[in-house]
Amino acid sequence: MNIKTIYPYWMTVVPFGIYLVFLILPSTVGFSMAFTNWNPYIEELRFTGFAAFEDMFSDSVYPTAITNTLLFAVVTSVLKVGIGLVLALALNSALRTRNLLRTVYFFPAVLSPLVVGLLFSALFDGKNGFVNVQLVGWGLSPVSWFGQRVSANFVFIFSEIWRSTGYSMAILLAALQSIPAEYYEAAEMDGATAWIKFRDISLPYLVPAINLVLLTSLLFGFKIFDLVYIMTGGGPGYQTETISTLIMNQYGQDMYAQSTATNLVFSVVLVAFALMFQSYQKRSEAHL
Amino acid sequence: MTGSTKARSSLALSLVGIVLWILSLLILLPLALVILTSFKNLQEGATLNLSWPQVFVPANYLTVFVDGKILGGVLNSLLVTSFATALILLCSALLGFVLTRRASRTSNVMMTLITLGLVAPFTALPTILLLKTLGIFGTHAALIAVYTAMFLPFTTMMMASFVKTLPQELDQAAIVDGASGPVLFWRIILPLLQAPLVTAFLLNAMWVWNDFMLPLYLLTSAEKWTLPLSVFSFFGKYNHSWQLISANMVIVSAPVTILYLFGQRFIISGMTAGAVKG
Repeated sequence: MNIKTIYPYWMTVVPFGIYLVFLILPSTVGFSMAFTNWNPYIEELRFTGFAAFEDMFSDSVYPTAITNTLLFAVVTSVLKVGIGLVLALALNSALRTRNLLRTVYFFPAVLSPLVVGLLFSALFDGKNGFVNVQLVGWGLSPVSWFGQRVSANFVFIFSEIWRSTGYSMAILLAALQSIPAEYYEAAEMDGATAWIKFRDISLPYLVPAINLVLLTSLLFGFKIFDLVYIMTGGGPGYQTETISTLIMNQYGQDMYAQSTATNLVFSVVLVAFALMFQSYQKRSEAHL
Repeated sequence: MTGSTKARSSLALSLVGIVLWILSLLILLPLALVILTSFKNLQEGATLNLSWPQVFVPANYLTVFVDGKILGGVLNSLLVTSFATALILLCSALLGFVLTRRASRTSNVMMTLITLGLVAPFTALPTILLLKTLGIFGTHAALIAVYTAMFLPFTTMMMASFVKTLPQELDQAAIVDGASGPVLFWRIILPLLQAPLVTAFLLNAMWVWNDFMLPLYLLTSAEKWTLPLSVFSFFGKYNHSWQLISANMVIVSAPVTILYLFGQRFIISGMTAGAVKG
């Protein structure tokens, strides 16, 4: 018997077929619709070249959405790594309650983004939200958190930190626990301080885990949809729009070709980013 | 270690513990706020605070089910989650098994294509167009198919890396007995994949149950909505009835919380797997 009959490809036809038809097909052939006049009312579908892309250079919703998305992705990723690392180091001690603490910190990561979105809508609601109730109680004036771009972005970032710092912490903690204890013992014999041990032993070991957290949280951040859509829907106006909510809102406004065009550029940029990150990753982990 | 440094380091340790528990209030208090509010009456629920309910109103949960028509959402979510999760697991196990064992140029190309699915964002309108062309737009079947395609890459990677650790001699023994293809997969490989399958089951069930974006694009009629969509539309209608919205949030979160409390070990290790292997 040979390998072809023992592990026949026909066994993969249905699973791979589902993948090709429902994921690869729309994200390749389907993108050709970005070069048409597609909308729900057209009588005849025509190729219009790059017409649907022209808005990207003139409509000010794009710079706003791109800035909001980049701000969200970069700030949340940096903070998730930073705070996650501090928590992981603290939990990597002989603390008796550390398993319970890990359970608590990780928990928000299993909640639906819908629930987190609603929770932060309740906390920061302009009328009777928890935070404003406290502010008024202290004699301060309430803030219309979702009424302005800056404060709304702050709430989005805060909610994402709340939701998934525990997840980053768990990845970094797992990496810390995989470091052999002998390394630290040997360093202690040489009289190394806590800082030296962290810099020369822990940190190099953590590089792959930090890279993984950075990659996953940047990718997640670039794609952010639920939290923003639930809390503001992109408004007021288009002040808090992100790329993913823009794709949805263009669809909602029947701008089918434009929505597809935005989606196409977004996909290309994300794949390019992931490839670039991979080469950075190889370089940063080469000496390990 | 001398006595005094030992005492000092155990003091430092307790300080770390105290700080970590205080910080954990940032997570616990908002959760307590939701649970407490879900049992309050209309007046008390109007201002969000951490006080104990003066009047205890478990009937909020009944209101949500009766007036909010949440039951349909629960049933739809159960249906979509179970079918999608079962399909994702079966497809990923098959792909992980065959593609790893073949290790040829074709299987590598297929694997690379699957990896792309980890990065690419959801292509909303082209997918809608495809489903309309196939005449299945707006159905649960279409949603299940798209979930399978979207979540299959992660689980396939997981299965592939596990199949690699199973010695090929195992297959040889079964082959000598005349097994091949599906029989080998079903009788020998699948039972050995039990541990990663449990993890994959928990993670995918959680992700599908929690998801909000795909049904928002792909389900149009209210009677097909999954739970997160029903709850979102409820939020639109009862904007400031925080006691009812909180009850909704508890209902959406209850199943994943139960999965988390029982399968925590699998969930955390599954979600953090890639990191330690490097």
